Amino acid sequence: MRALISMLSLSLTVLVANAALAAEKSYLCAIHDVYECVDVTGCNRISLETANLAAVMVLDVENKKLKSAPIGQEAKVADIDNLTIADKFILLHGLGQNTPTPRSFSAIIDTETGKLSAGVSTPDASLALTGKCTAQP
Amino acid sequence: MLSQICRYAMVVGLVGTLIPSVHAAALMAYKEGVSPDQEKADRTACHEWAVEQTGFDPSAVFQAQQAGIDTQTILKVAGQLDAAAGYSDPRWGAGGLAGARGTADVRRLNDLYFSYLAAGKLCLQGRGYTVAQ
Repeated sequence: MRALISMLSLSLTVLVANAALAAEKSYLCAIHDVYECVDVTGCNRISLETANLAAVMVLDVENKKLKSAPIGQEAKVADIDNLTIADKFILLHGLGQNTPTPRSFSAIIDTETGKLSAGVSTPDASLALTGKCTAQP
Repeated sequence: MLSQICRYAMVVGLVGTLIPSVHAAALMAYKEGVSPDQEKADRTACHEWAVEQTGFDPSAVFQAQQAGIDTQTILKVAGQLDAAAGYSDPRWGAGGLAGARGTADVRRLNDLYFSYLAAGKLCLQGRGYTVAQ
């Protein structure tokens, strides 16, 4: 009986692990709000257009890519330099090759709730983003 | 801020001159006795000179306007320039968060366009035109 329970537990664990891995291949992320924070004046909400962000982007966990396809434009892809999965969280960071001002970005996604918190650091300001991600089958 | 963006971003480069209304050039130029063909040639030469001086080429915006695409703000201008560069010029951003920009970046884009117009104005004046922006 004990052996049977152990085997069932093991099977269940493998099933859950597989389901989690499948869900982690890619996420569709919607950006809700963007705030720009600068010294002295503090933080102000800015539009997605000003921030040059598409409303929806795809996080390709498997290939470590961030893809966005603004309406009427070709899809753009950026490499994620580092991506870590820690428990239920996905943490990532990367660099933007923009000139003359480079930038770094980072994000954390709660895979259970889909909550996305991200930040982009530029020499002029910090952008704080919130959003929601949905796992893609 | 938005009005400032719109003011600097009312576009068509120096080459888009002889077409009226919404396709009007950002720089108005007048020279007594000059033919339309000569004015067009002068504007084209000044466009090339301005691009050389500033390293900024907004002629894709002119082409976009000819195709009926709205280019009224610098933000949309940047989108057109991005497309014209085959989405490979890092000035116009990359995918997802890597291409995110703040208002200082938008201001920088405005400055580029403003510098281009200033250089074009100088060139046309050098060729004997009276120029208004």
